[in-house]
Parts: sequence; structure tokens; C-alpha cells
Amino acid sequence: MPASRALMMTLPLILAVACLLLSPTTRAAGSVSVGVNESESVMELTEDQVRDLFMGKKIVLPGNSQRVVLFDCPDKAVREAFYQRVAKRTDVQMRAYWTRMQFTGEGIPPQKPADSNELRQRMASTQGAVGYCKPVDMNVPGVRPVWQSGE
Amino acid sequence: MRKPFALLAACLMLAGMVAPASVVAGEADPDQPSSAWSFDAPALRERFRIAGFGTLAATTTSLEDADYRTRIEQREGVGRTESTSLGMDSVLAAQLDARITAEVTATVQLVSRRVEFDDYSPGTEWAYLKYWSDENWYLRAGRLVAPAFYNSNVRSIGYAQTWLRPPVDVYLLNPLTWMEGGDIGSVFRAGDATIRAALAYGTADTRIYVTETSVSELVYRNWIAHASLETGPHRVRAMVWDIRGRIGNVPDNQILSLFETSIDALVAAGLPGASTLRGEIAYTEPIQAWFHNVGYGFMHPVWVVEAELVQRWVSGTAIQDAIGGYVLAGRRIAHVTPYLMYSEVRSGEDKTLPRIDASGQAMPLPFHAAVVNTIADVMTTNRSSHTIAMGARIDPMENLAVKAQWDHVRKPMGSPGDMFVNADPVWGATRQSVNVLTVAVDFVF
Repeated sequence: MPASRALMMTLPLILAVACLLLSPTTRAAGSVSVGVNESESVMELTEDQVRDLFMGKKIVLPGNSQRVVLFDCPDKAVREAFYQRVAKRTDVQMRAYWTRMQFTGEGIPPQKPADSNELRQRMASTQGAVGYCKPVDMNVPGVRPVWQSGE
Repeated sequence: MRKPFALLAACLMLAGMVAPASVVAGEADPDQPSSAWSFDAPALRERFRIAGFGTLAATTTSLEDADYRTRIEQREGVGRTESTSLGMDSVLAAQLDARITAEVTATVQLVSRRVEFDDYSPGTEWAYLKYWSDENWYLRAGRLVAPAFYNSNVRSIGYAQTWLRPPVDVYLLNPLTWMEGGDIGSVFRAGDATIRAALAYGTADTRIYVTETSVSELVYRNWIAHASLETGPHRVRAMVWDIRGRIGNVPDNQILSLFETSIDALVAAGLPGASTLRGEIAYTEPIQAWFHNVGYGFMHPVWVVEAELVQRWVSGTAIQDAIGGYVLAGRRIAHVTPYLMYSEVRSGEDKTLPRIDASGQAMPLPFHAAVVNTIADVMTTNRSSHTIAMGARIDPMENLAVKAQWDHVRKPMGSPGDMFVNADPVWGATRQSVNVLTVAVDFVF
């Protein structure tokens, strides 16, 4: 068997073992809050409305005609908990889902700020912004909380 | 066909650049997706979005008497030509989306991958304008995706899929990835369900490589209707495709042109069965075909299931009828999703063609009869195959997935298997099992 073939035969096993060993455990995320830019008229969203927005099935807020601008929480544990709750999918599945939406022109994926400070800042300064993160990140000037999950 | 669309792609982008800035300035479009980069100037950033995807893959096989290929146009694959291929499953693509007005967008997708030759020059996969009349209805025109399969619109985007590559047996039944034309589509909500439907018309061409002396250029006109329903983790899609096509290069295709000459000579000589055969295999005549399928996907946080059933019906015997399908099931364990897939293609009902008996006739009629009978035998050959694939998708970091897949391909005696080329004649005529192993890295940027 040529060396290249032997390497190819063993590579998948090496990769699988390495990834299993390196897999981080997901810590508990606690409660998740959804907020909108304060200039929006909406005061409350249902879980179904939140799901529709973050799966690209609705592109405007209720009673509005302006497209929303979605923001993901920079905290991976919060993202995982949020998408498990509202979309019944993992964070990885949602990234694959949004890749499909993006490259077929069916939607624009949520933006991912580098940290919670940037999230707060961009939520407060972007008209049409809809984002989620820990409740403390949505209770800031310029952002109105409109939905919150339990613990 | 690719050069004019490279020009159109440039025109679409130019249209985006010259559109009045005030039209887009009022748009509250997002700045850019997280996986994309954009120009710094705010006006350009609002109007343009660039993103890309790719796959770097290495493929090897136990095969030594033939080549295994993944696209019908490929003249070479992995096996007889090279033991390990870095190009067969690799792809690199960039997509530019431009907002021209509030209702009109332009999309251009350039893709670099090995198609017919070992040449990776980028080609225009998509280049279209899209007009949204309201939130529910749209029109598109230009070069669009040919929506042949459940996963057609993302068949090249490895990162969006669980598998390493689409099931080759099934996807070879319809090699079209794009067409030039337009479609009208709608997106509606009905309770928890999202319903998408579209009617499309377009033309396309493709090259089918059989041997060096037989490369067929098929030219199609297509009417396609497709609809999908998505609710919770479930998605169902169905499609009906009416194809009117012809082989556009019969005079240049040595085997087909030899057949045409021979059958015409036999018909002129009035040999029994020749006229019937002429009616069944007429490479210069239009071909009518129907291609339809139904697919189902289940995307659960732990389980992934996908299945599709495809049927191809073709008038005459120039291209065989076929039915195919696949089932994929996977389970996510932390960052690893192992999966198992079974795919199969079967030739349609056997078509019996008359054999021409030219014994006792003067030359060259016996020669013509031998040519015609040989080609008739090839056209009625069983082309069945099935594949068992095992693999794993690993997500070690954002926007990157590592995959490994082992395919065990089996073809029965007499079936050449459309995924094999450059086969030794004895190998091609006998029952064979082939193992193919691929490791890939999928990414988006």
C-alpha cells in the first residue's frame, strides 16, 4: 500500500480521536434575554416571533416595515442555550443553517460582536437591531428587553 | 457559456455601483454578516457583501483498473489515473451580493473546481437579479441554480451539509447545477410552517464525458416547479422538471456520428429492425425527459436524517430511465457527528431493441450492423450501482468543519457505473466493489 494511502486510511481515526479529546464541555448559560433598539415600537415578543426572526423567516418586527439587523451573543454558552431553546438546534447547526440561507440569498446571518460591550454599543446605535444575550446585556441604555427565557 | 456570464456578472456589479446612493442610504440593511468582510466606506458597505466558502479535500481509493469520479463531466478521477487526488472534491467560491435598490438585489457567485479537465479556472455559477415585489413574492433573472435536488442550492457548500459530498450515484442522474432564465417564487407562513414555491424556466448545457472520442454536449430547455414545507425540524420538498433537450455536437462526437451514419445506411438498405431502431435511438432528434423527486430532512439537535427519491424518465433510448435515492442518518456527539448513508440507482425497465442481422449482405452493411448493435447494447446496459458511506463531521472551531468519509461502491455485472471512467474493459463488465476514502476541510469566510 503506498504511503499516501496508508496515511489517508489512518487520518480519519486520528482526527476523530483528537476532536473528541479536545471537545470542550458546555457550561450552563442561565437565562437569556432578547432586546431591540429602543427606537423600535415593539414592547414584547413571543417565543415564536423570536424564533422566526433568528431563523430568517421574518425580516421585520411586528408592526414595522424596516428590516431587522440581527446580533448574536458573543458568549458561546448563551448562544448554544438560546438556539436550543428557540430553534431546537445547536449553535453549529444554526451556523450551517445560516450558511445555507446566506449563500442562497434567503437571509442575512446575525452579526457577532467581539464582546458584550460591543454588542451593547451596536444594539443601542443600530436602528432595527434585535439581539440576545444575558439579561444584564439587554438592560442597558438604548436597548429594550422584549423577551426572556427562564433559567 | 461561461464567458458571457462573467461579463454579466461584471455588469451586475457595475449596476450596483452606479445606483443612486440615496436609494440605498435609507436602507437599514445589516452592516455585514459575521463571516463576511466588507469595504470600509459606509456607503459601499451597505450596498455590497462579499462572502465565500470552500473545501480542501484529499481522496484515495482501492481502485486500480478504473477512475472514480464525482461529476459526469470529469475525464479523470481517482484510481487508475492517480492514487490520491487533492482536486476531485475541492472547491473554492466567492459570492458578491449587491443591493441596487430597496427591492432589487444582484448576486454573483464564482466557483473554482475541477470540472472536465484538471483546470481550476473560476466560472460563474450564479449571476442574477432578484426583485422582491413584497415580503412574499420575488422574481429572478439571469444564471440561477438548477434546483434538481433537495440540496441543489448548497450542493457545493460542504460547510452547510452533514455529508462530505452528495451521494454520487444519485446526483449523477442530473448533472446540471445552473441554468439561464428566470423564476417566480413565493414564501408564505401557514401557522408554524414556512412554505416556499417557485416556477422556473431556463436553458442550460452540459458535457458528458464517456471516452476521448465520445463527449456529448447536451443542450436543455427546462420548466421546473418545486415547493417545500418546513415546520420545526422537518422539511419536505418536491419537484417536477420537464426537460426538452438535444445532443448538440453529434457531428463532432465520433461514436455518435458513426452510429448515425451506420443506422442511416441500414435503414436505406431496408434491413429488418433498422427503422424501429432508428426511431428508438435518434441522437440528432430532440429528447424529452421528466425528472422529479421528493426529499425529506430532519434537523434535530442530536439526530440528523435526510432522504430523497429521484426518478428520471426519458423518451427513446438515447439516455436511460433511472430511479435512485438515498437515506442519511447521523447523531451528534459533542462536536462530532458520525453518519451513515446508503444510496442506490437502478436503471429503469429494460428496453429491448431489435438486433440488426446483416449476415449475407455486402460490405459495409455488416460493419454498420456491428456498430449499431454494439451501441444498442451499450444503451440498454444496466447502469445500476449502490453505495454505503460512513463518515463523520467534526466542528472544532467556528466556520470550519473537518470531515472524513468512507464510501463502499458496488456495481453489478455488466453495469459500467456512471461514476467510473477510464475502466479496463474486463473490469467494467464484471461485478466490482470499490472503496473510496476522503478527508476534507470545509470552511466559510
